[in-house]
Amino acid sequence: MSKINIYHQCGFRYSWNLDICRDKNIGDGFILSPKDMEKNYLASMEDGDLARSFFDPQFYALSLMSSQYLTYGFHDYIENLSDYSKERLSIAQKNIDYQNSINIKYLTIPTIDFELQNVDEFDSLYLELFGTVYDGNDGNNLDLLNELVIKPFTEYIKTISTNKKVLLTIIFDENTAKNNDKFNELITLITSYDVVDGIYLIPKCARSYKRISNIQFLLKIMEFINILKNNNMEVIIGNCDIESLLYIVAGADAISLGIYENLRYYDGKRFIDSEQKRGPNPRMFSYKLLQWIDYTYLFPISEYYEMKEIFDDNEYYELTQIDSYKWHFLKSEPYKHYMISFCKIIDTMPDEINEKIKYVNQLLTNAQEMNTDLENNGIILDDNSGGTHLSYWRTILLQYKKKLLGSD
Amino acid sequence: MFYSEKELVIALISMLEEKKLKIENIKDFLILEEIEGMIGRPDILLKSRNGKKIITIEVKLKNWKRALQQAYKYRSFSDIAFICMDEKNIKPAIANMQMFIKSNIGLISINEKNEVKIHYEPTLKKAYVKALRDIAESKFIEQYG
Amino acid sequence: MLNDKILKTFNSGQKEVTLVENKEYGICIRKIKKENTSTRRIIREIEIQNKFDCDYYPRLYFSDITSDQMLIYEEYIEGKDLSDIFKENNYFKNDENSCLNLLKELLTGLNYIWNESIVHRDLKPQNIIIRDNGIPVILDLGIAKILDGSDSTTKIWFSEGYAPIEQFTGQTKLIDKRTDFFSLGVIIFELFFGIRLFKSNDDVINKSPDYNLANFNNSKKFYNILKKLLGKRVFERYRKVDDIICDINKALERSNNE
Repeated sequence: MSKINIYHQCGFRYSWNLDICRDKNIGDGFILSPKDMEKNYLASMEDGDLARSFFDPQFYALSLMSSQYLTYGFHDYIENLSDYSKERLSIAQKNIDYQNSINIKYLTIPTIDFELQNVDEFDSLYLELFGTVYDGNDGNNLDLLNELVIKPFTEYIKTISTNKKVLLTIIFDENTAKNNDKFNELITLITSYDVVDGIYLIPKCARSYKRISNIQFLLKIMEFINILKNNNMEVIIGNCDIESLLYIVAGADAISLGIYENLRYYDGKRFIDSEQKRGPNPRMFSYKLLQWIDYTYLFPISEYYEMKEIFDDNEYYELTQIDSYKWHFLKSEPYKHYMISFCKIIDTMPDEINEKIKYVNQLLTNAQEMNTDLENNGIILDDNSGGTHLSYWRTILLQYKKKLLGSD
Repeated sequence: MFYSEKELVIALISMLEEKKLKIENIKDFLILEEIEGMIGRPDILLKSRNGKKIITIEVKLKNWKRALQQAYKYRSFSDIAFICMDEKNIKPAIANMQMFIKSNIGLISINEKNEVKIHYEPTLKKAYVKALRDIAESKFIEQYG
Repeated sequence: MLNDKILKTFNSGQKEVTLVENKEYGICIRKIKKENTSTRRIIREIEIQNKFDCDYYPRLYFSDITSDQMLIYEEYIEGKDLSDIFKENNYFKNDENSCLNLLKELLTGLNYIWNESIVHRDLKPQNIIIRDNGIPVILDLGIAKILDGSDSTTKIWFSEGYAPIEQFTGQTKLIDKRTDFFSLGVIIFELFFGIRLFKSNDDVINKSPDYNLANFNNSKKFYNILKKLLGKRVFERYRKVDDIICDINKALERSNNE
C-alpha cells in the first residue's frame, strides 16, 4: 500500500504535535511555522524531526511581524507589496539560503494572499512592473505573484546547489474554482517551472458551517490535484480537515493534521489579527459521524449509545469520558484523540482509485446512517456538529468518478 | 402576524410577566433576555423562583428546524427547552411533532392577540452539563441578586 | 554585397533571400530587408540566432540591422526540409526508430532556446531541414516568444495545423515550451503516418488523432509519447524535456531488444 503522508500543521501548541508524533508515531513529519516557532527553536530541533519536515514561509500577509517571525531575518520591516517588491530578490535569496542550510525535506516557495493586501497599491505596482494597467482580474494577481515571488525564488534556486526537492505554495480559492480561465492559467503556470517538484496546496473556501461543502469548489480542487499528479508533481495539502479524504481520493500524496480549527481551515486573517477571539466550544472528533461533535452533545449521545460506537476508543478517549474531566478548548486530550483516530482512517485507505472511492463512500454512508439513527433517538445535532456535509461529499465522489474516471 | 422575532419575544415576555403562561405548573419566573456568555444566545431564559428549573425558549418566525437545533443545544444548560413560533407559521412544526417528542423539546405558538398555546410540553430532565447549568444560574444571580 | 555572385533567389515574406557566393563567407544565404517592412521581427530572430553556435541552427556570419536597412549572411544548409521529405520520399513513414531519433534531436536542439525562456511558436515541416549528418536544423525564429519580456508581436502568428489551441486563440499567457511540444507531436505523427494530421484550427479543436494502438505497430511507448505531446490543453502534455527524452530512450531500448 503506498503511504499517504501526514504532516502535523504546527501552530499554537505545536508541542502537542511533536509529542504525539515522537511518542505515539502519529504522523510523518511537521509543517514548520515561523509565526509560532522562532529560529533558535528550529535550530535546536532534533535532526530526525527536521529531516521529515518542511518550512511554510508564511508570506500570506507579508506584514507578518510576530516576534517569532522576526527572528528569521528574512526581511526588514515590510509593510506592503511595494516594500516587498523592492526587496524581492534579496528576500528570495535569504529565505532559500536559510531553508537550504537546515536539514529539512523540501525547499518551499511561499505565496502571497492578495486578499490580505491593500488593493490601492495594485495599480501603481502593476504599472511599474508590467507597464500596463491593472484591471482587477484574477489573471493580474497571478502575474503579480509570478513576478514578485515565483520567478525570484525559482531563478535563485536554479543557481544554488541543493539536493532538496522544491515545493511551490499555492492558494486554491473559490475564484479559481469558478473561473475556468483562471484555473487553466494557474495550472499552466505552476506546471511550467521545471525546478518545481511539487505543490503545497492551501484550499481557501468560505463556509456556512464547519465543514466545506461547496460542491463546485471541492470538485475543481480535486481536478486540480489530479492534473498535478498527471504532471508527476507531488501534492501536499495544508490547512485541511476531514474533507482531506476527498483530496486523497483525487491523488494527494500528503495531507495535514492540525490541532486548533484555525490550523485545519485556512483563514489568512490569522496572520494579521492579533485580537484575542473568544475560544471555540470544545469538540470531539467522531470517526463514525465524520464530524467534530460539540462536547455538549456527548452527554445525550451517551444515554443512547456505547460511546465507542461513535468515538475511537484510544487512550485519549478514556480521559475525556471521566466525570471530572473539565472540557475546555485549550486541553490537549480531544486533539490527541482526533489525531490518532483520523490517522487510523487514513492508514486503512486502499491504494487503487476505485477502491478508495468505495472506501470513502462507505464511510460517508455509515456516517449518514448514524446521523439518521441519532435523529431517530431524538438527538438533534446542529449544522456544525451534524451531517449536512455528508450528502454533498457523496455527490462529489460520484461526480468525480464520472468526470475524471469516465465511469459510473 | 408578527414581522420580526423581536416582536415575538416582546409578546411572549409580556405574557410571562403577566403570568399567563404555565410551564411545569409554574407561572412565576425570573426572566432574562438574549443572554451572552452561554452556548449560543438563547432568546429567553427562565428560572423558577425555587431555582429548581431552568427553561429556555428559542423564538422563531418560521424556521422550526433551526429553532429545534438551537433549543436542543440549550438543553446543555437548561432543564427544559421550548421553541416558540408565530401561530401563522406553526403548521410545518406540528406536522413534524414526532421530532419534538423524540428530542423532548417543547412547542409553543403565539398569535397577534397574544394568545399562547403549548402544543407540546416536554418532560423535565436535568440539563446535560452541570457546569453550564451553573453558569446559567449565575446569570440570574447577577441580574436578580 | 556588391561582389556577391547570386546563385538562386528564394520566395520569402519580409526579406529578400538569396543564395550567394560571397568572397568572405563562401556559399551562404544573404538576407536583405524588403522596403516598407519592419525589422523588429528580424532583429528578434538575429538576437536568438546569435546566442547559439551549434548544428541545430544556421550559423550567423554577419548581421547589420538598423530600422532602415538590414543585411545578414548566414550558413546555407544543404538538404531537404521535412515538407519535401514528406512529399517525395518519406523514409520516416512507419519507422518508429527514425521518428523517435528525429524527435530526440529536435528536442535537444530546441532545448537551447527553451533554456533561455524562448518558445519557437512556428515549428512545422518547412522550418526543419535535415543536414547530411542527420542533424535537424531549426529555422525561422521570427515569431519566437521570449517569455521573460513582453511579447513585441501583438498580432497572433501561427501556422495552421501545427499550432495548438492556446496559440491560435491568442491565449498568450498559456504559451510556453509545451506549445512547441504540440507542434513537434504533429510533425512526428505526420511523418510516421504519412498523412496530414490537422488541416485547420477547427481540426485541432475538434479532431482527436486516431489512437488505435494497432496503428502504432502495437508500440505502446511510442503511442504514449505522441499522445502526451498532443494533449489539447497545455497541462495535458509533457512537463519536462527530460521526461520526453527518457520515454524516447525507453521506447528505443524496447525496440532494440526485440
